[in-house]
Amino acid sequence: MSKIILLVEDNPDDEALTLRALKKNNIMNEVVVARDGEEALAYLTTGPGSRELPQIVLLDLKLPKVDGLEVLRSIRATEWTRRLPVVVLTSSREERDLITSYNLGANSYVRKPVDFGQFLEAVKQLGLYWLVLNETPGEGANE
Amino acid sequence: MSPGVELTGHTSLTRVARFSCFGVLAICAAVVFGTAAEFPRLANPFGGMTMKANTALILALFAIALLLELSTRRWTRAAKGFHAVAGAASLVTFLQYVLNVRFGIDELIVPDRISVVGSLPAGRMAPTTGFALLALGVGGLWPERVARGSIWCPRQGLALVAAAAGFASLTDLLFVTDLPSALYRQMALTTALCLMLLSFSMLTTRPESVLMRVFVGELLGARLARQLMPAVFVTPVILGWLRLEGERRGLYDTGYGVALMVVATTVLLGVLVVAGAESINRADRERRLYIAQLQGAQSDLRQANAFLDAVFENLPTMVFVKEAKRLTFTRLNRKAEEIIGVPRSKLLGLGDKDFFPAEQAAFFESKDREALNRGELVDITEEQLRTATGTRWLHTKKVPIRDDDGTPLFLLGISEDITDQKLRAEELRSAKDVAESNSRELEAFSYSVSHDLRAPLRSIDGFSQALLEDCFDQLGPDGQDSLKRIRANAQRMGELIDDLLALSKVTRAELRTEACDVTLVARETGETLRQQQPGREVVFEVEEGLRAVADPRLLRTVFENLLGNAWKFSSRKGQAKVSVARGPVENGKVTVCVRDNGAGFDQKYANKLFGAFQRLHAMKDFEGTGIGLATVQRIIHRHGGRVWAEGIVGEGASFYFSLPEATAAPRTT
Repeated sequence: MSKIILLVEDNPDDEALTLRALKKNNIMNEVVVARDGEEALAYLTTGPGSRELPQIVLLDLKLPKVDGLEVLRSIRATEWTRRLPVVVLTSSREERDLITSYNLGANSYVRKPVDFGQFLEAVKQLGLYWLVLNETPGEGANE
Repeated sequence: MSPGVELTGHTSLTRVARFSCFGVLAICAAVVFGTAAEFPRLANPFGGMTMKANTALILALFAIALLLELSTRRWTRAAKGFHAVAGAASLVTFLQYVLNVRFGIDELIVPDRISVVGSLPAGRMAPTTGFALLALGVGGLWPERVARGSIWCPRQGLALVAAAAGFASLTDLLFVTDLPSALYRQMALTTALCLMLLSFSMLTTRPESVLMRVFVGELLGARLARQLMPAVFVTPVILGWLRLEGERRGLYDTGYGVALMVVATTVLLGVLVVAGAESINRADRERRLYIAQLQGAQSDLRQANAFLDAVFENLPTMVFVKEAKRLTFTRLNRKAEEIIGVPRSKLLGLGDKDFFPAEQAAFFESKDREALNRGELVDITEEQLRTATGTRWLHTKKVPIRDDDGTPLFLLGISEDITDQKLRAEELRSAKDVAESNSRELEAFSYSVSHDLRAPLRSIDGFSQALLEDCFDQLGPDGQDSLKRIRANAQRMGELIDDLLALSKVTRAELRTEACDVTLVARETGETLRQQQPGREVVFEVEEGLRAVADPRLLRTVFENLLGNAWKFSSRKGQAKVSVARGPVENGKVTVCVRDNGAGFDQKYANKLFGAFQRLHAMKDFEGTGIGLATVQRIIHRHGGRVWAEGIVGEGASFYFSLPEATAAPRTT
């Protein structure tokens, strides 16, 4: 059973660092990278049943085309994806981003620290929590 | 004639006159029937002279004429007819004496068989009677129109002549009875009485004549005249009678009798003069007192008016008064001239349309009418006034001024010039717009900073670490050191960015103040620091009961910075001590002092402490960005407070800040 991580990130440097941090933490799950909001939504809405949903979405907010908050809104508005765990992983800690994200139903909000050591630690915690500890309802489960 | 002294008593006078006429009619009827039926007791109940049937008929005609005139319908024409017939009959009789002929009128209607046969022909009246009746007839026929207020009133004069003849005969009857000559001058007692009654009635038909006016009404003179008039009739009669009686009884001779009568008349006239004079004096004193009071009141009124004028004139608002019908200006004050820009000499008597554009004048006048018609204040919060000096904005109140019946008399207008206020409000609005747009730009900038500036730093740090890990051996000690320095600087820049964002957030955030428990906030912040740095031993004391009005979130930021500093700079001390206490009192402001026994600072650099990026310590001694105190200062300033610091190198620092005092107990903790 593969537990896919969907990383939505436009900055290739951040992508590389995130992948490195995952590897350093021995998180071997398949990582799908979407480089903008449109791509992410295209991946997620290809259709129920045709593709497995990721275990977790790591979502940057500042994205080209469709921004992260819009992606989050769409995920929550679509029946197929509305229970998908989404962790906002972004640079800012602006109050309004935090509030909007939670209002839109983000499961978690993590600011990427400048210090790579701290980032490593954050990714480790995220992996442990969302990929191991956290339980999600089965696919297509109804209320 | 002023109201209140109208001819009151006029109607009762008329009533008495009518009653008199009916009395005369009754007497005359008795005489005619008595004569015709040859029943002397009916024609002449008092004995002496008998009224002749002709006399009775003529008197009756006069009585009827006067009754007609006295009636409310005023049948003057018919009355004239009766007067004419009666007057003609009197004239014919009188002419008989003058011409010494007989016209055969004496027993024309009723034969006289009851009169005492004397020298007068049967049925003929005495010459005096004829004369008096003739006077009445002429008076009755005299043309109506008499100039109002004129003393010349022939009708009244002739009536008085008739009355005088009657009165003379009455007095004569009283004094002298037996003289043969009396035959020609004496009337019957009833004739004299009837003549006087008719004369009185004739006088009464013109109550507005000067003669009658004297007696009518509530004026003091009229009252006096009414009171004294009977005495005027009765007194001489009594005196004369007394004199004659005295003489007849032989108490004194004629000369002394006249002397006594003169003295008595003098005394009585004197009494009348004194009584009349006293009553006039009393009235005059009252009148003078009243006039003096009136003058005093007028003077007070003038002063009050002068005071009101001064207030009116010097009010800082425009005040104007318009006449209610034509809406023309009747009064304006100085400010009104100033605002309209036209001197009042040119405004008075003219209306809005003479000065302002038609459309505007129509608006003003419609509002005037609204106030006048509704009878209440009309408030026009904003109206434009285009004058020669430019457009002005006014806030105007229009108040109707009405008389006691509610009829509008004037329109009072009070206008405040709000032009400056309006301009200022507009300036303020545009300034606010600018500030808002600045604030939006600043926000966009900070947002961009927090996202875009941090991302490269993350890459620098992350890839340096990657390089260190992947190529540790190839780098050698110098290379490794360089990379470590690169990472340290990247991280420090991240902190700087964060602190700058915090500082800008303090400026941007909306201030939501409430009464705060300062003691509690300080204690909680200290507790957090203690948990973050468990290795530190800090003696931390907070004074009880500190309260202030502040934004609780920003107050927390203040303590985070100040206590964070205190913690940091006391880290080299064996026994670190940090305290929060009440500082010196400023008016209306609570001062809080945060003190530590740490590294302190040189007082001469105290003014540099609160600038952004200002640091008094080397990085190697104490870490920091130099933004914390700038943030504190900005927060305190936004609360209207003051912040300052005292320090001694090596001994510690004290940071003071003041905040508005909280009167109520804190809502939240």
